Amino acid sequence: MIQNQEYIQEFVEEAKGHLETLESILIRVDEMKSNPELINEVFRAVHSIKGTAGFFGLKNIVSLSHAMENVFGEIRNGKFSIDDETADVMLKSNDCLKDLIDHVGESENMTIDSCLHDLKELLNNAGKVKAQEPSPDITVRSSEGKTITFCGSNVLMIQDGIRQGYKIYEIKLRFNRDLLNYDNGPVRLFKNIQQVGQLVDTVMDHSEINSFEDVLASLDGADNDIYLGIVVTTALDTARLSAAIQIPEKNIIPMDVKNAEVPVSESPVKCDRRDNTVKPAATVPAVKANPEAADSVKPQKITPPALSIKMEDSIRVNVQILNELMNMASEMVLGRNQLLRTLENYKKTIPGLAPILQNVDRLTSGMQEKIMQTRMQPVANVFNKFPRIIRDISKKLHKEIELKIDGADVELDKSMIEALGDPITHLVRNAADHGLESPEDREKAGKSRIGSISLKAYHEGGFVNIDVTDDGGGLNVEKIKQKALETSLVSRTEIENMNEQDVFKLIFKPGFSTADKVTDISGRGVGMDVVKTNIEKLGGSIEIYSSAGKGTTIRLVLPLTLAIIQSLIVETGGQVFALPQVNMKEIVRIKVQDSNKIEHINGADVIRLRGKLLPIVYLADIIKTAGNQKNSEAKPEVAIIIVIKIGVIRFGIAVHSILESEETLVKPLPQALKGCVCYSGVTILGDGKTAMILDPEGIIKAAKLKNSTRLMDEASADTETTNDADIEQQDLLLFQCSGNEIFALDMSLVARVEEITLCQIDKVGSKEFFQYRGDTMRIIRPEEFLPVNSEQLTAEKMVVIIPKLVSHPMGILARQIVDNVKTVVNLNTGDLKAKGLLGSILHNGRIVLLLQLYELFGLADPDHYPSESRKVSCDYQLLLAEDTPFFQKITKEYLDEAGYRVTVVPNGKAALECLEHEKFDAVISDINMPIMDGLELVRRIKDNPALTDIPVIALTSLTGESNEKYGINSGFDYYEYKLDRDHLLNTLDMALNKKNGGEIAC
Amino acid sequence: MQIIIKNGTATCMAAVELTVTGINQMVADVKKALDGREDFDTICVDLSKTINIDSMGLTFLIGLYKTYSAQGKKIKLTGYNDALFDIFKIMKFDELFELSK
Repeated sequence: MIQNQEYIQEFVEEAKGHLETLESILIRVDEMKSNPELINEVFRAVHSIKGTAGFFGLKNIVSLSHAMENVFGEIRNGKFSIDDETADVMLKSNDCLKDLIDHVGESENMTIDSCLHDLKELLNNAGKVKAQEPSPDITVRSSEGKTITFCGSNVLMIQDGIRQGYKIYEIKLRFNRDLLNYDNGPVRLFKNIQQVGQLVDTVMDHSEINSFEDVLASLDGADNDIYLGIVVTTALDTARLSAAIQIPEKNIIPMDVKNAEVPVSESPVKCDRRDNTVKPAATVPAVKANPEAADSVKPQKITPPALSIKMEDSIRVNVQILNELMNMASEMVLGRNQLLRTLENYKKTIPGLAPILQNVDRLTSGMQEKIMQTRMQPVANVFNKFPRIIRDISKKLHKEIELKIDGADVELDKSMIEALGDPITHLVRNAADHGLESPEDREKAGKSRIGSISLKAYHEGGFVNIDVTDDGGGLNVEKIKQKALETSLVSRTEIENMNEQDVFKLIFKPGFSTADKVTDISGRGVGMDVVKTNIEKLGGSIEIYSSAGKGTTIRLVLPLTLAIIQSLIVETGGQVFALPQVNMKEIVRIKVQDSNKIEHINGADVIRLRGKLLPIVYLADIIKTAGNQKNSEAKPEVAIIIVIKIGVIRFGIAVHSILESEETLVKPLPQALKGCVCYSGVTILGDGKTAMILDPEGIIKAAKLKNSTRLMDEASADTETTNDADIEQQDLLLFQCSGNEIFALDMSLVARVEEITLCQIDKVGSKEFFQYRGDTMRIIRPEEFLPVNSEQLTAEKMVVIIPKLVSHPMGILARQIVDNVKTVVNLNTGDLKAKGLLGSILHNGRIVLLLQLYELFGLADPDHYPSESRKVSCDYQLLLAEDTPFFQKITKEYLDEAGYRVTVVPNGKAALECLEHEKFDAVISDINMPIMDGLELVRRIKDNPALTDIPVIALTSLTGESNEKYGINSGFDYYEYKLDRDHLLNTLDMALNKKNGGEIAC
Repeated sequence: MQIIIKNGTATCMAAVELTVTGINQMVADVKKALDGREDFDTICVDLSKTINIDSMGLTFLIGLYKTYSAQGKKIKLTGYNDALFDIFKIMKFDELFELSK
């Protein structure tokens, strides 16, 4: 009989927790055999469910949990030991119990006969199996000196009480003398006790009532009575317990917890294992237990593994209240935004307003964040069910599978956690069924028989990523293509134009499956499309990484919460929109005069962003705000392009302007707008107006971007891979001096860029200086030393580029910074050759001049940068391994100038071949190189006794202490940064000196 | 207390209140109906009407058990509500009586 929905819900929540505990223990059969405490734990869990279900009259739940409790009781009492078969039955019963609890309202109509039968069979077979050691009994001693021995489940309750730091009491009552006038009788008494503590056991002695005559005598006031002893554990002291249960203190006898004892010899106080009840010595009532008898027991202290007092540091709160709190906090954020917007203009005129607003702002954000945290739950809530699932699947599939779980403590919003269970289950089952090969096939492939599936949760860039990884055969691209064609999911033309990622994503198409046979695990072609839909509903995305023969990782990228998101408020066509910032990578501004930067390729507008083509979507076009206007009119003259990256798709959304960044509350779309894929919701802005929240995924669909993005990638790839050997990109700072020429300096040579006005420049003689960090620094104008145009600089504001990796830094005065680009450098050294210039490159159709900084400084300051650099007196032969022509050239120049003979090779493999045939005094090697990198090269050199004496210097762009440490640990003798000529030459001197024992040996 | 003997079972219909005020009468009713009769081997106390029981009511049940179990009769309690069932379990009446809802 279900009496109160609120309490029932509480029971359901509590029971689910117990069931999780049960399941997590039941799958650890081996551990259970050796750790009796685990049996106790499952017993406690089932016992708690049974107890509360009984209170609500849930007979089926009581019956099943009772039957399970019996089995656990027999295991704990040593009647038989748990094995795989027993665990299977118990897990099945656990599932059934879970089902009953999940559908508690209908639980009375559900059938549990099969489970009850299986459990009964287990008990029937109990005697045939080897017994375990029985669990110890507990004897407690009262302050009166009386002892009581507890056994069976009562031991657990006593131990629980001790763990919680509770006190143990025996409430001694004469039934009619003490209880006859008790308000509402014994029913109320027991309820009162259960409200303030745990009723462990009762002991009743009715030896004075042997007939109706005794009953009538008792009624007439004779001494004949029933004696009742009630053992309870509670946090209350005697006085408070007395007040709570309305029983005089004299009837409440404390049992000294410190005297909790385990008898080592047979106790004179008998324990009936059949019903797990307390039996005082002989049939003497509990209150008359014989202290002398108990004293003869030699006690042994209980080992206190779990005796530490655990204070309650959490409370159970109804989720509905949290939801309401969250809604209110979200509305408060809106209110805060409106308040700040409204009072913005009064901050200066009303004294003290600014700090008040700041405080309100801070507190509102803090409160919203904390309330959000209350809804956060660890992904362990999802992950914890997988050990069981993997156990079952591995048995069914006859595969040996090891499950690794990492990051189970990462937290996500409760609604996300609840929605993640099914998608991850699909992925794990697929990984086990399709991903992992059979043990035999794995052995043939040189792998361990045991396949591995790992679940890993971690934070990355404001998202939580969940990786489901298997070390199986990986996705078979050709098989996916073939199946997709067979089932007409895509056309042949479409599939021919697909890249690997596109092919992988076919597995998310409804009805797609590459499974050769349908099993009850997977293979029906349903699941992966549901996974994708569910994850996208959560505002997340899916990425697939797969390597043939090595395995597959499916990554779920999820937002932390759905309620409030950081958005960029943008305006286009006179309308304001909120664009979630989670997928935003950068913002590019294109001025009117640079409108030619927008090109038209493959039917789409694109810009070249650091050498890659980026398709542009005009928001005005997509949302049709322009109405009857032509699209071209809707396009902004000065475009703000917000670069978005979702999975592997990268594109730009062009808007008129960006107003601000704001925390926006996501409200569901009105029914009328449900069909608009470009919107994910609606919000209210700080000024009180509503704004649609844009959905970048929807914009991709609306703009049909997938194909064009792929074509862009191919076009970009064409541009970038004209020379395979030339794939490393340089990070260049582009700037203009007084003329129109564009100069470039490698970013690794730039320390800072400072803004400067003309009046900050002081002239001393013919040289110019400015104040930099409390000191003076010379400024040079490159156009004065190079064969380029030179004009009068009239701009009020200019910039000074402060270089690094030079012995005497001088600032380079420039009119403006043009851009910072990462590009492949195809250096032209023939047409524009001059001292101070390395050569030229073409970038976006314009000539860019690359500065040779040391030569330029040599021209400006020959005292510190002599044109004749130091020359080594010996004929040293150096091997330079470097894949990038730009660095090959510049490094070789330094070394040639210093008098070394240099052989240049493009990778580690070529370097090793050279070392086999020629003798070198030192090797200088880049780290990141194709075919064989520098780390492998140095390992091979140091492993070869014939080469191990040759000093090997790393010359790399990988800065930072950890990189340097890693390089040295890998075997490099020295670690130098590219373009730092002086350091490299000094290190070479040192290395060669050391190699030759400090003497010059030519 | 209404008592019917049929098919070897004496069914005792307990009142709404099984409390101190009705004990004398109940004892008298039972003794009058059952003493000296041999045509029953089971006493079934039907508690389906009973909503309140006090310590004397419980004592009465124990007295009934002690009196008639000594004569080899089986004593059953039936029809009780959840509250009564809880107290019967706590008092371990299941060790004395056959409990059946």
